[in-house]
Parts: sequence; C-alpha cells; structure tokens
Amino acid sequence: MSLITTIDGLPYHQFNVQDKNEFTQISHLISQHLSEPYSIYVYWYFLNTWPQYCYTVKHPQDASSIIGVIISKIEPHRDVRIRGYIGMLVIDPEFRGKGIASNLVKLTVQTMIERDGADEIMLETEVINEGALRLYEGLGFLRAKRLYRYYLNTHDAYRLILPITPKSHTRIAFLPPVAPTGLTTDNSI
Amino acid sequence: MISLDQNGDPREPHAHIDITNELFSSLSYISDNKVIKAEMFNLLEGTRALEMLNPNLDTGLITLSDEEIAFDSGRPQSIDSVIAVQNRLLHLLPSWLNNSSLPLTVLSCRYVQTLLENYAFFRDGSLSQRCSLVDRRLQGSQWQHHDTVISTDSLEYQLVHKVLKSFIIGLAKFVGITLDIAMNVLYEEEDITTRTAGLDFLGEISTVAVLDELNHTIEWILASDIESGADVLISQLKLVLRLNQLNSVFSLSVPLFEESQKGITPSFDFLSDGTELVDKLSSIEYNQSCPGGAFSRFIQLDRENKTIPVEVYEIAPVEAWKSIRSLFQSVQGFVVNSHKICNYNQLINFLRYDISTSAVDMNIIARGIFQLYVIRDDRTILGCPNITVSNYSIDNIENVVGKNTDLLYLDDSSLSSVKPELKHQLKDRLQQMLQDLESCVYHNVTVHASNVCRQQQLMSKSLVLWDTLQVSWESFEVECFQLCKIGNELPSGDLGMAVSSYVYFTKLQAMIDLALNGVNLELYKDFEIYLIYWYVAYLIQLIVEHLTGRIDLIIEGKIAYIEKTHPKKIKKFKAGPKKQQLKELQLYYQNKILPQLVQTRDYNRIFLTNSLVAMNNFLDAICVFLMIISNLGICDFRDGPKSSLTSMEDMFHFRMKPWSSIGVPSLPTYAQYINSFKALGLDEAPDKFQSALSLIKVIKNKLHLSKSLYQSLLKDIVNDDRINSQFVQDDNSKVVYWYESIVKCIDSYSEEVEKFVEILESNKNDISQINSHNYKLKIIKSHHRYFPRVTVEKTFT
Repeated sequence: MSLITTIDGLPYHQFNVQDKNEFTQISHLISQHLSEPYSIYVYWYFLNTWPQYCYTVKHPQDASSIIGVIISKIEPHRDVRIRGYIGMLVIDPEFRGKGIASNLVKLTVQTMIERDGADEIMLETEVINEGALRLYEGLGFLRAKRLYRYYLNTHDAYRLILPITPKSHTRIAFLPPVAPTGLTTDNSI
Repeated sequence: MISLDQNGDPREPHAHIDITNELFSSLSYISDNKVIKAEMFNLLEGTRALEMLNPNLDTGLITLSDEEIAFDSGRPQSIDSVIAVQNRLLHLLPSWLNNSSLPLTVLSCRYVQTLLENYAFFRDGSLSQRCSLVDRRLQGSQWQHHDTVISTDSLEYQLVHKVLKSFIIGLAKFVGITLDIAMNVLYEEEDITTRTAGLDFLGEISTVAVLDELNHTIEWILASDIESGADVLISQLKLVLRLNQLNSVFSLSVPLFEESQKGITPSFDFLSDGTELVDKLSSIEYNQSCPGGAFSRFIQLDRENKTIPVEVYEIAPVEAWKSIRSLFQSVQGFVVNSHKICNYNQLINFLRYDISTSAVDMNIIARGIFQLYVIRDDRTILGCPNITVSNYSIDNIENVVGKNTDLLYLDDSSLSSVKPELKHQLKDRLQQMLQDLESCVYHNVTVHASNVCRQQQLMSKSLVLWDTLQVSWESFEVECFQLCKIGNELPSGDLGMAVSSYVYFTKLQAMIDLALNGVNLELYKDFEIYLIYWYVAYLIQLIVEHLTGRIDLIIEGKIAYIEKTHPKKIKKFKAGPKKQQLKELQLYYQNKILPQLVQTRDYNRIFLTNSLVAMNNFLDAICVFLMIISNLGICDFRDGPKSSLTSMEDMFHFRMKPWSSIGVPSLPTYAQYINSFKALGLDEAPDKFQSALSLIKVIKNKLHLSKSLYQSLLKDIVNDDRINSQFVQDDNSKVVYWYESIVKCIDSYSEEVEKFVEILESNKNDISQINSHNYKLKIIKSHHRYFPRVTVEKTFT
C-alpha cells in the first residue's frame, strides 16, 4: 500500500497486491454498492493485472478501513489506440458528495495519460444513473453510444468516452497499428 | 461434486464423487495470488463466471423446497390448477422477451422442462408420446401408487396429459419459432436472450402438426362434459394456436404495385382473433394458484447453466397481456398496410415512417417477423415474385433521379459501338457495381426494424458504405461517358451522373438521420446540441441544393431527351424497320416513362424539397436561439464542462467522428464552428438587448416560415394527389403524425422564445444579469424525437 496523495485530509493509496485484507475490503465495498454481481475472478483480473490502476481512499480516522475505490485497466483497443477503462468506482455512502469520486477519476486519468499514453478512457453507466453521468460528464466524458438493455435490470447504458488524443476521434479503419507497448490486448470489452 | 453420468439424476447421491480435498491439495502450491486461467478465458468470460461458494454466483447453492425438488408433473390436476399454470405461462412468455432468459421464465415451469426433456429422450413415437409429462426420474411416483382413486381416464388426468400437454407443445413450438427468428435477425442479449438450458424447442416438429394437436384438444374439450372453465381452457389453447400461426405471414406474397390487386386483402382473421383472445383472457379473474413447486429455480440447478443464480422473473399480468396484444397488432398493422402499397415511394415511405419510427414501441418478435417478412429467403421484397432486392435497388435509384437511367440498362444495343473487349469489361464492372449498391440498399432496409440503439450503429456503418460507393460510382460514370458516351445528359449537354447523384443524396440523408437520431437517443449534452443542429442545418442546405440542382436537372434532361432529342433522332432515319422501332420506343417513352419522370420531379419539388426547407428553417431558428443563449453566457457552447479533463476541440472532433471520414461533404473545421458564433455579431454589439431583440425577430420569422411550410405539406399529404399517392393510405398515417408532431414542437419553441423575450425585457437595464449564475438551460423531451424543448429557467441559488 503506497500513499499517492492526500486531498482534503483523506489519504489516496495505490492498491497493494500482496494485501489480502485490502482485496477483501475492496470486493466487499463493491458488492455492497454496485448492482451487478462480480465474481472473484473479475476482481483478480483487474487487481492482479493492473494494480497500478486501483486506488483506494482510507477512512480519515481508521487507516485500515477503505471508504472509496476505483478499479481500471488499460489496453490497446483493436491494436490501434490505447484505451483506458474504468471498471468500478464506489464510494461509501457516508463519504459521498465530498469530491472523492471526482478525485479518483482524475487520478486515474492523469496516470493513464502520463504512464501509458492513453488515447481515450471509456466506461459504461446506466442511463438513469444521474449521479454517475453528472460526475463523468462534468469531467468531459461524452456519450459515444447508447447500449440497448445493457444491464440485467433491463436498463440501457451509455458508453462514455473521454477523448484525449486525435486517435480517439479517428475511425479505427484509418489508424495505423500501435507500436508494441507491453500492454496486453483484449478486444472483449 | 462431479456428476458421473450426464443422463443420470443429479439428485441421487451416488451420481457424484466428492473431489473437494483433491482440488484444494492440488492448489496448495499457489502462494503468490496469481490468477490461473486458460488463454481463451478473458474478462467477458470472467464476468459470467460462476464462483463456488458465493451465494450470488454459485448456482449450486440455490436452495429449493422439497415440494419444488419432488414436483411431479405427471400428477393429475384440477381444471383451475391447469388454467392457472397456463395463465402463468402466458405471462412468462413476454417476461422472457423483456430482457430475461428462458430458464428464468418459461423454463422455470417443471411441466415445460419435463415435456422437453422427454421430447429429447424419446426419439420415436407420435408427438403426443414423445412429449410426455411424466417425469422419468420420478417413476413410481406417489400418485401412481397410492392415489388409486385417480385413474388415467379421469378428467384430472386428461386435463394434464391432454390439455396442458397440448398447450405446452404449442407454447414450446412458438418459443422455437421465436428462437429461429432471433437467430436470423435479432441481436443476442440486446433484443433477446436465447439460452435454452440445452433443450430443443420442438425443432423437428412441423407447425402443422402442432396446430393439429391444438385443434384436436380443443375439439376434445368441446366434446367433453367439462362445465366450468372449458371456455377459458379453449381460449388459452386458441391463443397459443394463433401465436403459432404468426409465421404463416412469411408465405404471404404481397402483390406489390399491382393496381388490379388493390382492395383484395387476404384474410388475416387469426391476427384480430389473437387480439380478441388476449382481451378476453386478460379480463378474467384467476383465483386458483398453480400447484406448489410447479414454477421454481429447479432448472437453474438441474441443467446446463452458464449464468448466475437469479429469481424466477415475471412481469405484471397487465404488461404481459399488453405485450402479446401488441405482437398481434403490430404484425396485423404491417401486413395489412403492406398490401396497400401501390408504388416505390409508398414502399420507401412505409419503411421510413411506419416502421422505422415505430420500431421503438414494436414488440420484439414483431420486429423480427417484420425483417423476415420484408426480405424473404429468396431475396424477394414482401414475397412479391417480381420484386427482388436487385430490382428494388434499381428502382430506389430511379425513384430519386427518375426513370430511363442509361447506365442501369446497358445491353448489346446500347454498347453496339463499343469494342468487344471493352464491352465485356464494362458489363462485368457494372455487375460488380450493382452488387455493391445492392448490399448498401439491403443494409439500409435492415436498419428500419432494428432496436433504436442498433439503428444508430447501423446508420454509422452506412455512412462509410455509401461514401465508398459514391467514389466508385463517380469514376465509373465518368469513364463510361468519356469512353463510350453512355450516361444521361443534363439539358446543358453535360454528364448528369445519375447513379452517383442518387448515392450522394442517400448518403446525405443517412448523415442527417444519424445526427438527428442521436438527439432521440439523448446522446448529446446541452453544450453539444447546438453543434449537432448547426451541422444538420448545413447538411440539409447541401441536400436541398443537390435536390433542386443536379437531381432536378437530371430529370429535366431525361424529359428533354424524350420530348426533343429522341424525336429529332427519329426524324434523321429514313422510313424502314429501324425508324418504326424508334417510333414505337418514342410512344413507350411518351406514355410510360414521361408521366413517371414528371411524377418523380413533382414529388421531389413539392414534397421532398419543401419538407427539407421547412426543417432547415426550424433548425436555423433553433440555432439562432441557442446562439443568443450562448452569447449571453447562459451556456457557452464554445466551452465544455468547467472541470473538463480534455479540450473542447477534442470533444468537437470526437462528437463528429462518425462523419469525419466522409470525403464529400468534408467536415466543418473546429475554427468554423467557433466562428459560427460570431456570425450574429452579438458578442461585439454595443447594445446587446436591442441586438438580441432583432435576432428574436429573425427566429420568429423562421419559425413562422417553417410552420407554414409544414402545414402546407400536411395539406398536400391529404389533398394533393401527386403527394397523397406517395403514401400508404391509412387512417393512422404515421407520416401525418410525424409532421404534426414537428408543428407542435415549433409551437413549443415559439412559447419558449416569448418566455425568453420576457427575460430579456426584465434585464434590459443590465443585460449582464442574464448569465449562467442566474439562468440555466434545460433540454427536455417534447412532441418529436428530433426536437426536444429548449427552455431557459431562472436558477434559485
């Protein structure tokens, strides 16, 4: 667990892949507050492959307690652009409205640009999730697609994308392949 | 636990081996938290993975009651119980189509599971024998041994093994039909989920055999002495029968464009009967509940299941009946209307206004049926033997640029002066070009009945297809003209480029549709809505110029050829067979082709052009309104969100990405977009209040002009035969509704503009008070999908 920064008295950490307790707390926080159930595999898929893109916020009085988490990944998309993907973002309801989610997204975006040269950052959210839409759209994410009945609860989703470089607004067919980056390619999502 | 035998009963303890210890000991050497997975097991697989011992993800942890586990589907039941089971199944069918799956709905019924398992097990025998409701895993069940009072001749036995069985056969067959439709034209996990728990929904059984089975059972009930409830049982069976008749529409051959056939509408009584049966069954109060354990999560535990444990899913009865009713009504609507189609414009307008706009409300199966109904397996349109996708494509072209397009009818006589080698090359190339064009037309037809989100993706793809097509057709038409003098000429004698002009027109239309459909999907945020309307106004300006310019000239050129050029050509010939042949051709041109050219020209001028000009005036008005709002600082469309992590220029380009690859017309630059705000001069105006009021006058004029044009169009649609004849005659005309809705939106805008004038008046002494701190922009749904209401409200901070 390494401290990245402190904002408004709250410590922001990078996930420690060796800390089982941290893993348990993160998965517990997410399963409590997100509607879609995720298997342990999904958590491990993200946290083990991209620990550098999982940030936590600890309780101001109890450093062992996690009150917010963002889990992301970054990969070449169709081998032509580097795409960051925000998989999960949860803040303990008691600590919402304090800008923690916004700080976590900013931290993730900034690192993806600086460390891996992200061309764009993507995520999906329910069309009725006004809070999430307000958060991401306030940071410049645009609605790229509407996905029909995307969620188990029959709701549509918006695919939101934050365009960062010209590659993000060029059709795939007109882009040359990216140079090998050491990042794994996954076309599944 | 590992099951030893796929066909064995998983409830039997000896059918499994406990490998828990072996599994954990084999994993004991892993200490570094590494994920062990197969190469092919990616995130998508992972999100659907089952996690052992997690109650949210492990189907093995589903708990069932003894009643559910030991449910005996062969046990005789009372008439009320059978009615209740059938009623619930009729609710579970539309529940499946409401983004659920079969195991959570129809297959949650043990009767359905047992019947389909027996159907798979017994490969021989009659339909009735194969589809037994006796659970083979419960041989020697309690009722067979101890309830000696109930014999196989009893009514209760027959109600299960005859009536309920027939009902389920009918229902299962319809599910099978739906799965077939889904495989062909619907999108998995968007429109429908086709997981079947490895069961075959009577694929080998013909619909005719199923209809016979249902009819025999109905006759048996009529002949029996059932006093109470027989009517309900029959209605339920008939409803399933009507559902199975739905695929008979695929064998209907619509006599397209044949005047002599108009008014002769085949009987579609089964569709209206289906609606009536729904009305009847939905009005009944069902008091009796289903037998305990008949519906459960048993199948999720018992059979092949790649998903997480989920409760049985059932929509409210009122929604279920509404869904089935809408299925019959939608199919009846498009089948009946398709039989009224008299010409190509009617067909195109039918697809555009009647189908595409109502796809959002159409029942999912109806949408699937429609796609297979429009383009049949033999590539005919609506089953009409004379109209295939190929000639539909050609007529599509001539519907815009008029008949007699030289290049589309290349034959030996038109190529008589061309060298043989070149002749072959041209013919081969034309063949390929027409095939490409056919693919694009086919693609466009598939858009209409897709779900609204998928429509957007298909339209986006369409832009690339039509843009590529335009490039290839342009070079082909130029080459043909330069090498062989083939191609229609404009009155000036220049090459008309008829096919390319049609392709360009269609591409521009697709570009406009894509942009405006995004409004319907609520893809654009407040600060983007001006950009989209500004861009669409530009595209409409181009399409109007194209329509009133080149396309009109192409048609005039064709008319001039018939009226002037061709008669002159005839005069040059001496009397003889060739002259006679040309005279006959001239007669054909005069009587058949000329009226069609005039019709196309008039439709383009009166309807198409005016509808586009009307929309452009409306868009201009909206854009000026939005520019005033932006210039006064309520919502600056030149800036993105305050905390944006990217630039407005990147957001501009990202939003315009679908259109960015188009060669002609090229995408406006970001600088042009930013400069568009300066056009009004409001930024630098010394008296912003007066300048804004002057611009409000412009807005009002544009709105008035637009409304007048739309009202005139609405009159033409009803009264002008040249226009009226181009739409399917229907009391619930979608095209009338479409334009009436736009007129209502114009009225809403007029109200908003008046409200804004009040805001201006109230701040005229200090116009700087109109800013984002005191006022906010709100965009809310309105009467028409393309024109939400834009309103300026005071903030309460």
